[in-house]
Amino acid sequence: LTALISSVAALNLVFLAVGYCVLAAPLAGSQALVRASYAGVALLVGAGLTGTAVFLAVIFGARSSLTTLAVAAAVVAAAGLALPRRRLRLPALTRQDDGGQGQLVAATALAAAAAAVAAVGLVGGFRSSPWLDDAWGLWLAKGVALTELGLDQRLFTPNPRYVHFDVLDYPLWWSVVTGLDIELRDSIDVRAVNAQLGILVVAFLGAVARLLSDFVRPLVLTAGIALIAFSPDLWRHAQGGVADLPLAIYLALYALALAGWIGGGGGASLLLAFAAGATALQVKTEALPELLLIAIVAAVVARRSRPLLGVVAVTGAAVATTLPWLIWRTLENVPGRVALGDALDPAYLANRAGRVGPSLEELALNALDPTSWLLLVPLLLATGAALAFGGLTRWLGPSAAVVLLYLFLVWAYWSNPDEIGFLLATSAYRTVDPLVLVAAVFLPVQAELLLRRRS
Amino acid sequence: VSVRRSAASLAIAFVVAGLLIASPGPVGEPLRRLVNVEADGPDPHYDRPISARSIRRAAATIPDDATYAIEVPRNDPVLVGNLKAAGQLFFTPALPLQEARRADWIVRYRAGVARARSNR
Repeated sequence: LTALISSVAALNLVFLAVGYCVLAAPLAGSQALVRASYAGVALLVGAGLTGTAVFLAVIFGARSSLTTLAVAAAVVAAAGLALPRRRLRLPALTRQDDGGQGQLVAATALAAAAAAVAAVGLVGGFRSSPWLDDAWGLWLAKGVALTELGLDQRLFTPNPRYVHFDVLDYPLWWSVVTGLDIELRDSIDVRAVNAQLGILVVAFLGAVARLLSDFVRPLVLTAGIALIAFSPDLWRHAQGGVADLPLAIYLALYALALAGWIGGGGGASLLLAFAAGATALQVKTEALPELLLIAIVAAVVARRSRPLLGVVAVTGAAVATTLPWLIWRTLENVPGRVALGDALDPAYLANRAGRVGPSLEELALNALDPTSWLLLVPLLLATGAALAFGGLTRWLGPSAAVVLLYLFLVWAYWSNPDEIGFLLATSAYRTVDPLVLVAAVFLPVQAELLLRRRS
Repeated sequence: VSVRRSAASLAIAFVVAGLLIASPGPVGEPLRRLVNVEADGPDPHYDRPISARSIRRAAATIPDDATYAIEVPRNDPVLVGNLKAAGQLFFTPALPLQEARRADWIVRYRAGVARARSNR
């Protein structure tokens, strides 16, 4: 176990260092404690961009080796350090109310409880191997192949001679990152998948707390973080090694960063939105439509030209990072599992209308079940409606994004060729992760706004 | 916040965390799993009886530059899927072939144990 801990820790220290280099411009002049409070953000940014850079190198013929990691980390860190400081300030947000002593005590208690649960979850990551066979049999196996052979056509393209991998259209960021954990470990140890995911989850909790703490009062913030940390499915999925969870983490971070840009300006939010959006797009194929739906909602909410321009520019830059993989897939004849022509064909969809009802029901059940994600989604919808009734119609945005993500998933299950019962039973519980975490990061903001209106 | 209040809030936090872990049903299940059970080893949770040690032994036997094929005596898709995935995880950089007769090595599965033998 010591070897596992040291290898996973070493990789994540590299990610952390790279992340701080990328954040060097926004954090310039900050006190040491303020810099330290951005550790979660830095780790997610470093893991996201370094993993993406290694993946891009793999597409261009490199192996996902430690040398490639070193070069990718150096390039991303150097690019981050070269960013102009004046244009990348943090968003101008203000916290109006800290609450009284009683609220601070309750906030401290909730923060400590969330930290205790997160610590158990993190330790559990190193102690457990994934219960989902895709985690080791697909994602990690691809990662090991990328370190040993690179993006070898014999394993990564359809062919009659070799036993190639399944779901060849999926991008490979999660495989690259977990494969690097194994490369450092120098032996197959599938617990590395859960350990890596546990670290990303804890970093996510810390990042959300940090990003919202300039706007949301401590008690509301810690209650929101605790609701995420106490959600059974957060740790169930972390222990499963499911790729949907890192996808959800980065999509939620992208959405939150866009909101920070629209609400508070500052190029740092755009930098974070780019890092999170580009990473989400390298995790799973459904990330592209999900990211675009969030961007459309952000564009509608932005209204004015400058924020709108930022949303469009940063989303375009993130989407551009997917082009090498799409081009490689086209050149190597790796098709998507769902033909877009079918998915948009009214006759095809009409013939399969019986799939809509079960999809609506199963996805809603998984997103709303309090024994899975507590009340994150219902509370977001309720607070969004309350703000809209109070005249803050822009705050229907997060609810609209969550509903659109839900409808997209229904459409995806509707158009998928596989048997619907099996498909829903084996995946709906995790494909809702992005919409749940998008709801989760906006819930404290909306609760804070409701309290401000009351006072 | 005073030291006394901080201590009180920490105590409340540990009580809350304890209640979460002890709570019945699915709410406390993930945390109970972490707290109660022995740590897992470095091998996957196979869905069928497969000796993890025999997979690692076969991996050590098959040369890096070889090709291999896996033979399973019965038509069990889950078992076949688990062995295919185990091969791709542990035997790489050796390459899996569709046709066993062309492979340098055959990995045979019998009664939970995988054994590699040369096919040349």
